[in-house]
Parts: sequence; C-alpha cells; structure tokens
Amino acid sequence: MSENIILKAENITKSFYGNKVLDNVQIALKPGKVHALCGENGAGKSTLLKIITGLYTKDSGSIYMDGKEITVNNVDDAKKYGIHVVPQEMQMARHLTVAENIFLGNPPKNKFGFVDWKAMNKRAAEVKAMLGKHGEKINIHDVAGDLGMGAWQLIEIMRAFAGETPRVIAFDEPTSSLSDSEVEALFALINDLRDRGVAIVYVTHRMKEIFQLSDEISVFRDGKYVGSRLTAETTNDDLVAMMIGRGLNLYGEKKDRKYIQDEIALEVKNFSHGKDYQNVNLYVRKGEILGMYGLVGAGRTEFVRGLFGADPKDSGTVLVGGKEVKINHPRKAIKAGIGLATENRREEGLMLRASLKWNLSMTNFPAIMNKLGLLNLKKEKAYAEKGMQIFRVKATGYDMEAGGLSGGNQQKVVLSKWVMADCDVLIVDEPTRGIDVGAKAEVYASLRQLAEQGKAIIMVSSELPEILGVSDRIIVMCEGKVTAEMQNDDLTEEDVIKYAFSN
Amino acid sequence: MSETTQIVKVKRKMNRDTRQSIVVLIALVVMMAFFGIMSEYFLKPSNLVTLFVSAVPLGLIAIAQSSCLLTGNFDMSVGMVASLGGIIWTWLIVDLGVPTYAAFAIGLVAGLISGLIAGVTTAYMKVPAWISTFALMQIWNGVILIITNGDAYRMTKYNDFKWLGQFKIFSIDGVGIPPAVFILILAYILFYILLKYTKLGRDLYVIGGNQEAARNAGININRGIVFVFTMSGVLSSLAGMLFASRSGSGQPIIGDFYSMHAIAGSVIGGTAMTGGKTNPIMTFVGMMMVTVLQNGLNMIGVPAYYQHLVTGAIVILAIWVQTERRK
Amino acid sequence: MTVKNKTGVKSITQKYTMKQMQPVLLLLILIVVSLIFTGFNKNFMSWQNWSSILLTACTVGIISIGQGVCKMADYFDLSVGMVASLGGLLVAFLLQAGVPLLIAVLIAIIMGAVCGLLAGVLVAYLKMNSFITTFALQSAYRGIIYIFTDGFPISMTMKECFVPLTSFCQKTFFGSVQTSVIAMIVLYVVVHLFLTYTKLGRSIFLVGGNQKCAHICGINVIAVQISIFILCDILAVLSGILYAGRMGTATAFLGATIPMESIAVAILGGTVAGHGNMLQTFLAVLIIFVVKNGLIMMGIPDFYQYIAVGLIMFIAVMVQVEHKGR
Repeated sequence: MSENIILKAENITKSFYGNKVLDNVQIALKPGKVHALCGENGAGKSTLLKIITGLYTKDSGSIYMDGKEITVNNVDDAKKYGIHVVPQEMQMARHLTVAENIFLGNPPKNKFGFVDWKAMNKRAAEVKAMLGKHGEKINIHDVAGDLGMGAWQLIEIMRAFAGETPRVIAFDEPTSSLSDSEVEALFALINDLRDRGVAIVYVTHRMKEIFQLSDEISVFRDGKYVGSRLTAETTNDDLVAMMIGRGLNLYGEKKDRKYIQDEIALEVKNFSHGKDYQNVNLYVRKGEILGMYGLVGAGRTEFVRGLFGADPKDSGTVLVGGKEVKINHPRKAIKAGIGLATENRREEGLMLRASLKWNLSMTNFPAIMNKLGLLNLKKEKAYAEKGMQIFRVKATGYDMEAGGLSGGNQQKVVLSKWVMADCDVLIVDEPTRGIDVGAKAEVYASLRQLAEQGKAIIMVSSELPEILGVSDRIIVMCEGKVTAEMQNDDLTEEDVIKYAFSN
Repeated sequence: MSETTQIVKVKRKMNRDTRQSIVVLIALVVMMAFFGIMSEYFLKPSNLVTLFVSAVPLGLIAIAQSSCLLTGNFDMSVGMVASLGGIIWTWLIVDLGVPTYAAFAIGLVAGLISGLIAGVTTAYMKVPAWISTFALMQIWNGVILIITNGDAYRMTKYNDFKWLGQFKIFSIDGVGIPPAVFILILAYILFYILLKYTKLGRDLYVIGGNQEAARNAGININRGIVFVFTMSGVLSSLAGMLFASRSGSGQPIIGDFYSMHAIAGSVIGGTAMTGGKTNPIMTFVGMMMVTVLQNGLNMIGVPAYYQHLVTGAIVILAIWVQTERRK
Repeated sequence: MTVKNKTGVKSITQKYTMKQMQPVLLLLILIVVSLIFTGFNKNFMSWQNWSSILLTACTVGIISIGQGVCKMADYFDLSVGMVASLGGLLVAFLLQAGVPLLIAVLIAIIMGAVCGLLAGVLVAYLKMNSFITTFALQSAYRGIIYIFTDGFPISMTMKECFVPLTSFCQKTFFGSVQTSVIAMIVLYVVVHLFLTYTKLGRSIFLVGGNQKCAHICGINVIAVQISIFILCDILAVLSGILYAGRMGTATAFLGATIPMESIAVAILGGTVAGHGNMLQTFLAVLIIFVVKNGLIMMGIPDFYQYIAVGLIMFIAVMVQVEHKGR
C-alpha cells in the first residue's frame, strides 16, 4: 500500500503570529484517488493545502515525493514536482487572453528572449486538447475577464497542464462560486483527471461533495489531524462526529409550531427583475421561519435584495401587515420594519473597523436622537448595551471593533442590529456561511428565539440540512421561479431537492 | 446557461474596446478637419511638424503615465520631474560649466533617482503611489526654486544644447524635423515592444490586473512597480530636457499641464484607471489628440486661459468614459 | 461589557495605544518641535510669534477641516485651493458691484456648494477617481478665474466698498488674535460637534468605513458623499474670503500649495477612511505651521518649506502604513 503513495506530508506545523494553525498534521496522497480534506472553518485544511502547494512555507515537518524528501518554498518549487493548486479565489489577469493566463508569469520566449506569441497560442491549444471534451468550450483567444467562473477554473486547471505532467492537483473549495452546470462539468473533469492517475486533494465544506467525489477522507480539527477513512466505509454521521468531536444537535429541539401566529407579517406579490427572478409570490407569518432553498444562481439572493430595496427590481408589490409599502431603497424597507442580514457578512453586513456601538445604532438613528434631532451618545451606549445582550455577544465591550469578533459573534451582532431597529420581518441570507459548526448552532438558536418572540423570518440558504432543520415552511426556487412551497413536516432532502433542479 | 450568453458577452465586450479605439480615431480626424477648416494654417506641413515637435515632451510623459497606470498607480510627479530635468541640465551647463552631454546624462540620472524613490516607497514601503509622488512633486518644486530662485536659464549661447530640439534632420516645406521627434517615435516603438514582446511587459499587465495572480505566478511585483516608476522618472526628465532644448531655456515650471495631459492622453487611449489595461498605439493617438486640441485652439485664437478649462473638461470626460460602472 | 477577561483588558489597552494615543502623540511631536525651534531662537515661544503662526495657519487650517472630512470617506479634494481663490475673488467682485457684504458672502457660499455638488456628482455618482477628477476641476477653475481676472488680483486697500470685509477680517481680539484665527477655531469646534452629534456627521464615518454596509443599513450613500464635497468646498470658500479680507487682496494664486498642505495635514492627523477627528487634524495643522514658521525664524529660505512639507507627508504616511501592517 505505502509504495503507492505519491506525496506524503508528515508532522507539519505552522504558526501565524504565534497562533498554531497546524499542529503536527499529516496527509498521504495516492495516484488516481481523490482525497477529501474536511473540517470546520479554521481546522487548518486550507493552510495544509497551501503548504503543500508552496503558497505558505511550513515551520517544521517534512514533505516526501515518491519517498524522497523535497523542499517546497514557493509555487515554482511545487510546480517543478508537478504539484498544482486551483485556489478558491481564482487568479486571472482580466485583460489578458486565455492563452496568456495559462502561461501567466512564464510565457514561451523565442531565442532573442522576446515573448513568442505563436508558440504560446500553439502550446495553449495543445493544453486545451489535453483536457479533451472538457476544454472544448473555451477559446484560447478570449479575454479572461469576459468569461465566467467555470471557465476561469478551467484555465486554472489548464495551468497545471502547461508544464510537466501534473501529478498532484489540489482544489480549494472549488464549487463555492460555480453554477450547477459548471459544478457538473467540474466533477466530470475531476473524475477524468483521477482516471489519468493524478492524485487529487479536495477541500470542501460540503458533505455531499465529499461522498460524491472522494475515495478517501482526512479530517482536521483545530489545526490537528483527527484521522483518515476510506469514503466507502464512512457515513455522514461518522464524519460529522469526527469533525466536531462531539455529538451536537445543531438545530435545537424539535420544532414547536405554537408560536406561529395567523397574522401575515409580509406578503410579496409578482416580484420580477429581468432574468434574475420572475413573478415571485410569497408570504410569511409572524413567528414563522420561512426557508428559501435553491441552488446558487437560483435568484434567491437577488430576490431578497430586490425586496429589501438594496438592488433595483422591475415590478412587484410588498405588503407589510396587510398594507402596501413602496420600497426602492433599504431606508424604506427599514421604515416598514424589514431587516436584511446579507450573505457576505464581512463586506456588507458589518463595519469591521467601527465599534460595535456604531454597528448596532446605525440602523436606527431615531432611537438614539434627542428632541433636537441630535445624537445622544449616552442613549447610544445604553442602546448598544441592550443590543449586545439579546444574543449574548461575546465581546470586551461595545467599544470593540466588529472585525475583532469571531464569525458567529459577528453574525449575532448583525442580527441584533436589525432586532434593535424594531424589524418585524427579518431576512437572513446564508446566515451560517463561513461560520464553524459550534457557532452555527448558536445562530440557529438565535433565529428560533426571534421567531418565538413573534418575528417573521425568511431564511435563504443553499444548505439543505439547515433548511430542513430550522424552517417551518419551505419555498424552493429554481432559475428565478418559485417551484415549490411546502410545510416542513418530516420532509426528506429528496423531497426538497427535486424542485431545485430544472426539468 | 452560460455557453451562449458567454459568447455573446465576449463579442459585445471585444466590440466595446475596438469601438472605443475607432471612436477615438474618428474624433481625432474630425478634430483635425475642424481646425483645418477654422484655420488655413493648421493642416500645412509646417504646422503638422510643429504638432509633432510640441508633442514630444507630452508623448514621452504619456508613456510614463501609461505604464504607471498599467500597474494600477498614478505618477503625479511627472510634470515636476520634467521641470527638474530641464533645470538640472541647464543649471549644470550654465552655473557649473559641466559639458552639455555630461550634464544631459546627469539630468537623466536625476529622473532615475526620483523614479527610484517613488518606486521603492510605493512597492516596498507600501505608501500609496499618488501620495508619494505628490510629496515628491512638492519636494522637487522646492529644489527647483532653490536652484533657480524662480528664474529661467536662457541658453541662447549654447549651440550644442539646442541640437536635440532644434537641429533640422529632414526639411519638409522649409520646416525641419529635429532629432527629438525621432526620439519620440523610437520611444513608442520600444514601448510597444516592451509591452507586447517582453516578459517584463506582460508581467506589468498581470501586476495591474490581479496582484494576487501575479504573486502566485511567481512574478516579482515590487520589481515591476519600481521599474515603471524608474522608467517614468527617466522619461519625464528626458521630456523636460527635450523641451528645454527646443525652447532654448530651462524653465522652473513647465510641468503644470503635463501630469494632467498625460493622464488624459493615456485614458483617452483606453488605459484603465484601475490598472491592467493599456495600449501603446492608442496611448500615442490619445496623446496626439490632446496635442492637436491645444495646438488647434491656439491656431484659431482661443486665449491660453480657456485651455485650462478645456483641459480640465477633457480629463473629466475621458475618465468618465473609462470608469467602469456597475449597473 | 458582557465579558471581562484577561484578553479583553489587554485588547482595550491595545486600542488605547492605537487610537486614543494618537492625539497625545501629535501633541508630543508639537511640543518637541516647538522646543527645538525655541532652542534656535528664543523669540519662537513669544505670544506674538504664536499668534502669527496661528494667523498663517488659518487658511490651510480651515481648508484642512474639509480635506479631513473628505479623507474620512476615502476621498481627496485637490480643487480646494482654487475654490478658495474663487470664493475670495467672487466676494471682492460682488462688493465692487455694490452688493452688501452678507449677501456677497452668501452668494460665494452658494457657489462653493455648487462646486462641491459638481465634484460630488462626478466622484460619488459617476464613480470617478476623486484625486484625478478634482485635480482636473482645479485646472478648470483656474481657467475660469483667469478668464475673468486676466490673472490680476483685486486689490482692496484703497476702496471704500471693501471696508466692511477688510475691517471685519482685520479686527483683533486678545491683543493680537485676528478674526480669521477665531473663525478657524470656531469652525473646528462646529465641525467636531457636527461629526459627533448629527446623523449626517456619523453617516460620513459610516460611509467612509464601509459603503455597502451603510447602503444596506438605510443610509443614502451618494447623498452623504456629495454632501462631503459640498462641506469641503464651502469651507474652502470661507477660508478664501477670510484670506482676501485679511490680506486686503483677492488673488488667483492662493491655491498653489493649499491642496498639498491640507492633504499633508489630513494624513499627519491620522485621518483614514472611516476614522479621524478634528482635534488631531488641528494638532497636525499646528505641527506643519510650526515647522514652517520655525524654518523661517532660522533664516532658511521659503523654498525649503516645500521640501519640509513633502518630507512630513512622506514620513506621516510611512508611519501609518506600518501601523496598518501590525
């Protein structure tokens, strides 16, 4: 068995600013196998990937290739050994052609040392041919900036084929920004690469992909190596247990519908915006959590943003508490009692460099103003104090910068600021994205707590277990349209997911 | 989804770039026709030569500015470095008696040092380029005033000084083409080769387009940035000296317009303000457009004061067209 | 104060060193620089000299308020110098035409607001780069000034119609403190109160800190950004009027060094996107003008001041870049 290993890393340790992010971890890759690396956020899987592929240097430990120890200090070293990475953030020079992007930083040169465009295009065409049918879609003369994420990923993979035959290709969360058809194409390509004997490392958050794709699994937790399993011999529950290290009921107690009131808090009629979403109708009751499920690109995020007035819409009416309100700017939505916790918490959800106090009060200036319309800083402090207690945010005080909080606590602050703005309807878009498992449970509990207080909640998510675990009622979107609406009574994943794919 | 939509997008986008180039070319032709109609002298060979001669300093500075913009940085100091070059050259000759060509070389070295300072502070010390070059601009302004006390150096006595800008190599219609014009043309040819056919040139596109990608492709980003600023310093200084040679004097403030005009020229030529995109040929066209406008306004008798206004308006218009707005 | 533990206390002290210590640091620099100059020349510490420092500082000082507010939103306004010139010239022109002082000032302020609106629309609405755009605007304004004045200043010394302005501006308080200095201090306090206690003031910080988040939280981002430029250009106009009244002449050449110096002040004052305060900005103004004044008292020619200010700017930026890295 062991002679079959291409690449082995042992006792790898790495610290950033004194924080040990990797502590004595190991991994062994075999040709023609897909090796999934999984673990919570901060488990160290991406860091290990970056060490193997030369983006980071290790503090200690050793890496062996074909049984011989090698040193990988930078990306070029790694490439020499045929080790490549397809990073999460794809790295394209947007104004250059596909061919140039394939040979980025290392264009073919003629004997005078000048860039040889003919040779470059010819070799790019050869690389494209190597990918067979997977490469057909791409034209090497196109400008990279005009292409989609799927094409960019293909370019990243083509880079691996530009030099020596690749022996190890690492994928870091490759599906996070792809559409369905692109994901399918990617999986086909990965399977193809596996058949050619390439060793593949695959880092992902998504359980489904692990079981769909991998042959072996290694689990990391808090920078430590937990263990490896053959995928065929592992169940979902085993994996979760390994990842979180304890049995944890993420979604809390069995749902109790007695909090749901008859009164409709928000009703949306005939919402449309171009190709993003068409004719969306829905309602949500007080005390109810409405789950909106759909694949990435189904139009859910666009819809809630249109509803909230953050982005323009073409048509549609909104009724809050039975009365029609015109919403063309977030200001109007807030006034009508709607709040939106966006999917990208760090970019839109919070002011990372501002204090928690400012973050909490910014949605509700009237609450901290005196009679003259001036800000009352004492009132603001009390306001912030109150806001932080709703979900018991773990912080040193309301003067702390939001950027210093953990992901889970940041999300709690986002929720609090909307609760404090007296929102009756709270829209949360991917509330647990980038949050580790332990903190997820707290976010779910927070949402449940709000529903019990009579708030109406719309939870947008592409994670099916979360949708099934938390929502009272589920709406499924697909290609911009609502395809199903159902009460969440003993539904299985299959019941829901079939509506998320187009026929 | 996307296969067909992607292809459509590509076509639309490619059209957009070419369309912009075509629009700029047409605008240049229309502008020249307009001035030709308004002034009978405008299209005379003698004036066309004048046009090229007066384009020399701006043309060189536009190369400097385009390459800085390509990496996603501005160089605010170009105009002042041009003044500095001219002043150092003339000062060395007149006050210190340095031989003309040795002084010329020292002038280039002064530009090189200025560029190095800008490049090193930007690349290695992570000072935003516009601030470091803005500060440099003030520092050189002080140096120039200290050297000159605000006066110009008259160079009427020095014949070899004037060779670059005034010697006539060819004569067309009684008007000679001075070596400076050939320097300009040579500079653009070299600029084209640099950007199109050298690894360094291609690397600059990546540095400006996507730093992360450049880093991971093993491209030495800092070296690229230091290179463009150094090149910018040398070219600006050269531009200032060629201006001095043509005008027969070293002027303490020649550069007032050049920073602006150079940005206008590059941006009209399709250089992206955000970096990663430029085109040497179109930079030349854009720069010529600015020159033609200035020369034409002079020819039809618009007072110099209005040119400030026109310049400002053009820069704003050019940037407005180039700014990528999300819908 | 939900959790108080060891790490919590530690991070609060870290915060003190980062933010709250900045004014103390600037004050220390100011004291040290002043002491050095006093060492060279005993007269430096005189009341007379300090009031003259304040007087020379007040033109840039007032403009730096606006520049600082711009910088809080991650913008620059390079047109402030020319807007100041425009303001002074416009008031002089109107006074010459027999318009009462208050109305003339009001019209000039409106003109400043229009300039700010223009810059704001270009930068905030059309998303153009503020540095280059305002640089271009500066050139355009210069053109306008030249077209109307032919580059000649309007002298106010001999004519009756200018007396209300000049006498107001040249009035002195507490012995040798002129109106401009009082105005500067009042404006610093007013803008400080505005930033701290009004919704718009707070919104400026929020928009500077994170536009997208501010938008989602219901703040009209573009309106806030435009109002920043309006505020900045109105302050520039006020500064220009005070300068004209104080010097007895309205000139087109006021603006040459102002953008540079006001940006140097904003940077030295530690203003960054989403953060900044008026006390630090004021201390930064004092430091720069103490240096300039000190150099003059040491008999060093004017020209070296360019170099000094350029160097201060360099050093200030470099120090702050290091801060960010930590």
